[in-house]
Amino acid sequence: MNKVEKRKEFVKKLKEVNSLMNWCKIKINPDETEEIDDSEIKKDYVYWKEDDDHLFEELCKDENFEQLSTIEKILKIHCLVCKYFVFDDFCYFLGNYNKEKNICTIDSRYGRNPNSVWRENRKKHNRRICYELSRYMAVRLKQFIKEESDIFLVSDEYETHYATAYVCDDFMIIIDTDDYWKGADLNRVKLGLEIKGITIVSDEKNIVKEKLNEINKTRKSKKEFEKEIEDDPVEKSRIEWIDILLEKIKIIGNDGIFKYMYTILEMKGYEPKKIWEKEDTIYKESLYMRWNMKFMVINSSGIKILSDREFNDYIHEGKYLHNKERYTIAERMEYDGR
Amino acid sequence: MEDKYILKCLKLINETNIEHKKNNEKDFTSDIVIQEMLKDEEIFYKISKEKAYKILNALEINNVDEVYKKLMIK
Repeated sequence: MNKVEKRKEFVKKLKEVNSLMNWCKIKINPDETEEIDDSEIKKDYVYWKEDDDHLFEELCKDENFEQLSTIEKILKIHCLVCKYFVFDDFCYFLGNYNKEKNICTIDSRYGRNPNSVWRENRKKHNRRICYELSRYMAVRLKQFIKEESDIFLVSDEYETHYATAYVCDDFMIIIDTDDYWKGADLNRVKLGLEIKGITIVSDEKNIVKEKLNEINKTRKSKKEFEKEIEDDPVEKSRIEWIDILLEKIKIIGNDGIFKYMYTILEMKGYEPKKIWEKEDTIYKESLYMRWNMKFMVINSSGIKILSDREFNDYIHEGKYLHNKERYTIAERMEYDGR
Repeated sequence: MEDKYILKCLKLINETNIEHKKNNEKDFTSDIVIQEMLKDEEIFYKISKEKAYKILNALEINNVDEVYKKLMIK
């Protein structure tokens, strides 16, 4: 089967894949010269370029890397990417939710079709969204895996999410660093949890399935992890400490949350971000930060710990806002990647 | 006024540490010593950098260099 035929087969097999992502389209690097005669296969908006970061320096020097099987190489690269990058959750605040289609879209300038200023500024930090991560993954897979393969991106019908596809003679897989439904590997890998971002499209020899089972035996399930956290005295102590601090700051007054809590959490090594919680017509100064596999939201009402889904739902409902004028941030924003 | 603001943050951290340790029946003697020192708003100008870092480390500050720099801005 040639490349074109294999891609068509891949698109066909996507229909059989059991995934909440509804993968159905392919995006290829715009530098490909082959003619495309399939409506499901299109060129991506930007060229996939190699980043001159130091992330893979060690891998370049690793003599044992070449001895690994293809799937082992893919998983090693996937884990390196997941360890370094963090999901750019600011994009949640830019989403336009379409109830009828049940999809959430953001401006294409935010990572899907960025300008050169965006791409330059992104190199200065490690926050990324799916479009950027999937292109980065594709470039690194091409760079480090010499075995014959086809690497492209997949998306859903409305291009709300991208992931990377790897197709070789033995298997076809989708590699997703930020699967919103299962909990992103961007968090899972950092916390030592099972890798869930690999979707099998075709794996007749069970190569991928067996390797994933082998690796995940040494990693915790999300349920196990959350139970451990619940019972962990260190974890309870951390939350108790923040709770005591919050009570002291509430005494200071209205500007205490932003002024003192924010600074103190930063001093302690957390990464708090400012938001507003809206209740009827009242806006409460709030902070949020990543907390294990969830989000912690802090304001004068107390501390809440929410799943990604709950946090995002509150944003859609207009309960959590980046600023008091929800829709103006998207309109006025300078899409420069900072 | 950055130094005053940072000092206020350190005091809040220290008070939180004391209450947290009291609640958990842990020894907070060293935290009381720090609390006394922090009452002097000029303390960080009077002590050596080494001693200042000891206090900041005792308060479990993550970005000690940055915080010390801000404390020394007058």
